[in-house]
Amino acid sequence: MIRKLNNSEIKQFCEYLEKYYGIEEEFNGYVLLWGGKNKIRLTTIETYEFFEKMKKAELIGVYIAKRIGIDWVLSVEGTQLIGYKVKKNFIELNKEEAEKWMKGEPIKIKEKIFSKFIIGKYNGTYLGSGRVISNIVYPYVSKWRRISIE
Amino acid sequence: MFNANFLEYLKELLENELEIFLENSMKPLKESIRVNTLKISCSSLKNILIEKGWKIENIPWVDYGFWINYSPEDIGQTLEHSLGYYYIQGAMSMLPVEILDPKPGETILDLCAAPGSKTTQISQKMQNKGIIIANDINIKRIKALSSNIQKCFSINVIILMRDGRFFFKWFKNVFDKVLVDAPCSSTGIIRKSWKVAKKWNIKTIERLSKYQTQLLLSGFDCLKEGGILVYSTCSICPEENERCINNLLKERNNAYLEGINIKNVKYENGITKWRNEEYNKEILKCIRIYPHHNDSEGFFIAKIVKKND
Repeated sequence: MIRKLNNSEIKQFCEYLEKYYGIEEEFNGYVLLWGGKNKIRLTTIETYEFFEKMKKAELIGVYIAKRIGIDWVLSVEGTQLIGYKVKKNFIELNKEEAEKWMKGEPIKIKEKIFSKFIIGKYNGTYLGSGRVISNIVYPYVSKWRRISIE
Repeated sequence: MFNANFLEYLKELLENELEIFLENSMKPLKESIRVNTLKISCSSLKNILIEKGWKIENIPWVDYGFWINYSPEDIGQTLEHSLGYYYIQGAMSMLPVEILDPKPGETILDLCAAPGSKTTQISQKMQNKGIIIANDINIKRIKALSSNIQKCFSINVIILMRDGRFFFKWFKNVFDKVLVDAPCSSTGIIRKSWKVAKKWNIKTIERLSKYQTQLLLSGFDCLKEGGILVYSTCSICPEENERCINNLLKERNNAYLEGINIKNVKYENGITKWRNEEYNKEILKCIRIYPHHNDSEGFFIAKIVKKND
């Protein structure tokens, strides 16, 4: 069931982004929706207004984040949308690491990171989020979009 | 490679061009990509790819498409592809959307949308402004459609899974533009799969023709007055193309064909006589593109406007 996030849910999401990533974003001009499996989807206001008049649709807009427990984890497109505002909890990857990331392979990191999730960045672009366990990042990349491992 | 019935059919259709058509059908199709301008500019991606050793060439009929003359890696397994910076799409398959000419703010229906090449192309032409309804009947294909919409960041798309033949029941006179890129026999892309030439049979063509006409009529009824519909297939069979357009012109007296102005593409006009059938002379305004014309896929494209009843 697709439904709009209420004001309190939007507030929680935005506060999380600011607290954990230093991202100040209010999603003005967009509509945020629950799209099943705790996923947040993003669409435009006019697309949502059209959608509201319809009885049934499979999907609308693009998945930008997922709620996991008390955390909100940004998707590849979520980070590409607002990643440029990130101030903390991100890692700069080199080319080999970026490719490993998009293969879904774990990446060892040198610095100590205390947050559960981290955003991957390479050459000015954003690759989504990864789960940090001790000094290893496990990237969250959907299977269908991974670079295949030879 | 070609079954005998198909070869006979092609002889009748292509006459003098048969040999060059067959010769061309043996060659593999050139790889091509469409830059996803919702995520990256053409010049930025071009620089990245050239730096990686790719040899690319502009596709002359779109300003965001490249032919890949050489790449040191599998073009479907790169970081840039995975990030949604480009979409692997046939060069000629970019043309129907160019002819539809989507504009920001319009409401557009892509009636047979999966796997989403043209939906995401429409979305980038609209700069994510306006609304796209992307429909397909098949659940497996809907999954591919949603993945591609995700990767391309096409946020102005609503996906529906309905039988396109009955779409007019829910969306009569709603859309500024409609694309009916109908399921077809794929006889324009034998270079991609030789199975098409082996398995061809006239019964399938006749069955498809009926289905395509129903889709076309339904798509047309979803248009607003003054709206534009583009009908395309990657088939060269007149039953799937000119006959369907002829059926539309007979069934809807407010349907008019428009001339197609495209530069840098070699094509032929639609045909008005095929076997024992005679079609409306207006069908000359449609275009037929054979694979040997532009070293690409073969396509048929018609542009139709809905005028006042």
